[in-house]
Amino acid sequence: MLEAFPNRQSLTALGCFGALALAVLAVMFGRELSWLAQVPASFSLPVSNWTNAAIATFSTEFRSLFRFVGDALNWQLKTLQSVLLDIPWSVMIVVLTLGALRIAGPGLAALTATTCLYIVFAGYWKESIATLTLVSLGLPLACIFGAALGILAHSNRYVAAAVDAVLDVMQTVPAFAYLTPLIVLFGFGPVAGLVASVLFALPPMTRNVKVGLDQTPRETIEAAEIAGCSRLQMFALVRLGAATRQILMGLNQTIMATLSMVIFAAVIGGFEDIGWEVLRAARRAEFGNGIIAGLVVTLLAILLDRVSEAAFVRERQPQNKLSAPSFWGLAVLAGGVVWVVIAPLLPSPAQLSMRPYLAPVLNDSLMSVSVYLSTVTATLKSVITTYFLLPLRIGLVRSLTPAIWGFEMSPALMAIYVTVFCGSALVLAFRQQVGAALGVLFAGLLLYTGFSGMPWLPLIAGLTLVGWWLGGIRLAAITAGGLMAIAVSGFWPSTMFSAYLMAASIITAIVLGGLLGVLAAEYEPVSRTMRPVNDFLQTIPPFVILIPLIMFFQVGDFSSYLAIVAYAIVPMARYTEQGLRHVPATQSDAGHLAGCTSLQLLFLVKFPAARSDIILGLNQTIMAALAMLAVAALVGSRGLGQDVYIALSKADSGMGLLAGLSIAMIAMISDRFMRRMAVR
Amino acid sequence: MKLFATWKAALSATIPVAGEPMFALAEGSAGVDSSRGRSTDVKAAQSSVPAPQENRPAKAEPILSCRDLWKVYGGDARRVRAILAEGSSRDEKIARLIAEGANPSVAGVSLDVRNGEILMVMGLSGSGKSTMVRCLSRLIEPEAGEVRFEGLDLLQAKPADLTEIRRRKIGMVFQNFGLMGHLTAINNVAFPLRVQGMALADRLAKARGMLELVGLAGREDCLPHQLSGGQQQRVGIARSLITDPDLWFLDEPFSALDPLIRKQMQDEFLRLQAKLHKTIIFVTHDFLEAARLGDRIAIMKDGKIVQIGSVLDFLLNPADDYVRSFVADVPALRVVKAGQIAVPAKEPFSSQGDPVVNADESIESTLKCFLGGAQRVVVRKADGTIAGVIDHNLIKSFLGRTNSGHA
Repeated sequence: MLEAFPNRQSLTALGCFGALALAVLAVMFGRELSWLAQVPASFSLPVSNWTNAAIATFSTEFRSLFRFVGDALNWQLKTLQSVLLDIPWSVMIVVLTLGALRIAGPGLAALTATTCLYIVFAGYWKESIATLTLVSLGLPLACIFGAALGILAHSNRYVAAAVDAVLDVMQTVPAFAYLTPLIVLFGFGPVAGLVASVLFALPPMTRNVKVGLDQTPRETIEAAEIAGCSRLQMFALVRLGAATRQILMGLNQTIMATLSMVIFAAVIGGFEDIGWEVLRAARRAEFGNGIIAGLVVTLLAILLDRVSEAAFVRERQPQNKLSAPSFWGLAVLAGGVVWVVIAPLLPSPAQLSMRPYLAPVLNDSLMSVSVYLSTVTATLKSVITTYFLLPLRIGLVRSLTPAIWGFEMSPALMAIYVTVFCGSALVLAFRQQVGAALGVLFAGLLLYTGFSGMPWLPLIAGLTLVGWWLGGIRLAAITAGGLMAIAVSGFWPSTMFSAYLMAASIITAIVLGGLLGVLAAEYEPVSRTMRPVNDFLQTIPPFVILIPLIMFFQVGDFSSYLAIVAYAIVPMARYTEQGLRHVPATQSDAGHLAGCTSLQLLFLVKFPAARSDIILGLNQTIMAALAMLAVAALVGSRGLGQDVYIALSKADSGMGLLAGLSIAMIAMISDRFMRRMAVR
Repeated sequence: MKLFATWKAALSATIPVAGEPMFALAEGSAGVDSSRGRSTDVKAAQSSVPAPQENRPAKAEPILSCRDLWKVYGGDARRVRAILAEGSSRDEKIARLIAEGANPSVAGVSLDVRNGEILMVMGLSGSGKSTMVRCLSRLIEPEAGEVRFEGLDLLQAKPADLTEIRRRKIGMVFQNFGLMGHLTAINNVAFPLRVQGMALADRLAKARGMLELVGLAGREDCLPHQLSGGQQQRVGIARSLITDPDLWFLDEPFSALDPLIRKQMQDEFLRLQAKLHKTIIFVTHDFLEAARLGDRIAIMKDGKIVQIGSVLDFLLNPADDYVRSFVADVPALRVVKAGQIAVPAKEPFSSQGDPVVNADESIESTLKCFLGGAQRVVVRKADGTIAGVIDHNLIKSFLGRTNSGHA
């Protein structure tokens, strides 16, 4: 694009430089320019009170409706639970294992049997049944509503745009945030959690149904038109058929989302499911119980994922010898026989539980391990906190004290600091790398003030300018509007705290994940070992990661940081590996022939070629980190996640929703930024 | 020399000389059918004299015709319609549409398709050929113009009527097959019947027969992705024929296939057509395919038909440089068939002693006879009657007029 001299790029650079200068002024004259440095108290509006009032009015208006729906769901929950509990565990194991054998083959049948037996001996049979009850009630609801929404979105362009926007928000607002208003509407108890699960699990269904219906090949549609299809025939015979695979893929995702949210929703309590057991164990620091229950959750998640994947996503295997009806008939018969003949002879799951013996032993041994490792873990924790987390949070200006780093930020040091950053920025600027120069200056300022001391107005101005440069006036408006809205609702300090935690985790995830991705792309064994670990980390509900973290690193920022890293590292590693592997062979051949060393090949040929893949990975990493923010708050970091969590315990829906929306806002803005960057 | 003069007359002028033998030379949409052996009015006894014949069938009512057909993408819909409704010339309209930011994909096409002929629509990608064909079946709604199918105005037809016409009278084959991925081969073929509400057993029986016809017996229960490209297109062909349509559209049916498979499928197509005698509109970007399969060829450029006529017309009389570039590398000796240039003999003759070639053999094989020392070659149609003769002078002038001399 050829533009006149003051083009968008140079205007942005100038503007950003101005914003930086303003920020420096604000830092230097913090007292006089406090409105520039911190959000003034007069600036915030009681938005959360308004939200609360609105929700209160809404819930009284429709009280009878919500009560009716709530009662109906509650009755169904209780009924289904008691029916499932009435089936003896031995019968359940036989039927489930036979089912898995039919659907997914002998390997997964063995896993099914093992999982069931483990649950029995772990003493969590009743709790697991409660979880399965929630899943099997939430899943069909999510499917029906999700599919209906997807069909609507498919049939109308405007509905599609609206649904897309709503789903974007729903998928980025942490689920905790809408738990609170649901509690107001449905009252405390499992129903609010169930509804939250349905809401949480519905987007993948909607998205996949819509994509599947939309993506029917044009020629297939035309062929059907030439055959003289009516509109209904076109939908039922052609589009729906063509979308089947995609919809089944959505079903697999919906199942996993339902399970994961059912586990989450346990924080409400009241249904004694397995998620509740994990949470309770974690709260009481009963690591033995926590690990045992966490393993149940993990096994359930892996099992559901693999079996549903085998059933819906994988290519159909050639059919077995038995026809479907006769097989299922036989399975039911086998279940009946076991029920009548074997089940009465077996003790109840409660009697079989080994947990009373196992948990204390496990607990003690884990404790001794953690004590044994405590010098290592404590050192790790203090080093990373002191030299990485603290400077990011409160900046060198406050962390560089004798008490923390052992020496002070003397004027001489300060002069060196300023010279180093300004000097390198100047050098870069002379090399025409204005963007990099600005980045260096910003990094210098950020490191000095930390996220908490970052002047808010210049930051918003700078981000808005970058948004303008990347995505035009629209993105600039979204950025400015979104960030201002956060500031107005009084969540700016929390947001900056979250930003610090996110930045720390994302930097770590990029470095470690990128490194792992490079290694995996270069060395096949690394890739082979990494794949199941990644699968595992992506399948298990994020909740479970917290238990070992608390065990070794106690409650606090550091554990939150590690939890986020563990979750966010996966997409980075995956996309980096994928991007590097997909570099066209001709390009790396050309690099080889040009005489690149392997490092040169990596940095000069492969990274640039894999750039857009890696940026997409980065985007996924940020999204994963944001999603984990609210979960990580359970182990005690401050910030938006903690706000959401506190709102939940105080049943303050306004605060919860707004804090959640702030997270969604950040997610949306950074997503837009990243996408623009990927195509640039 | 006399013959050469006739040649010249026939080639340079488009006015038929009465009583003189001539090459069928089509002009515009009212072209002359020069198809192989389609005229049945002459039934000469073998080795006796054929009566002087016009290689032209009785002028039949076109099964499908369109007049001043326009499909315009982009631009403001109302402005576009206003421009099209004006009385200005086609080129003026095109210029004004482009100035409006609209893109005329089909620009004022008029065309007649006669019963039983194979019309090849050719052009580079983006020339509007697929769009034009889709407008003819109203898969795409044209902005202006008229399409008459068996006397009915298709663009004014009510949805129910249109559906009925599509169900009974039109079949279409697509470049990328357009099969339903979730249906087995036999269910794909039976799909149009299912839409019509035919009972399961009946439609499966018919579909099975159709699959047999296209050589796919035994693959009934395969899903499309389990079949090769050529097999998938056979399914597509079977599906398009199962309702026994009067009008058969083929939109680049063999372009997605490997060259060898393409050749096989072309043979298969000719075999089917010999049995079924459909009226066919066949889109292709391959001139050799057009020459091999078609009776007439229409070349499109920028949404307009630049030239329409027989292969010979294109070789001997290209309308402009664009068409010339299209046929520049076409091996005329292989593309043109003996039956297309043979002329009736001047006087009664006996074919004894003269070599005989079939009408659908290429000029190349005729040439071999001349190299073998023959003075003239007798051309025989598929039904055994004599199509005419080719002599030295004729072949010479042919070689002179086409690029075959340098090929």
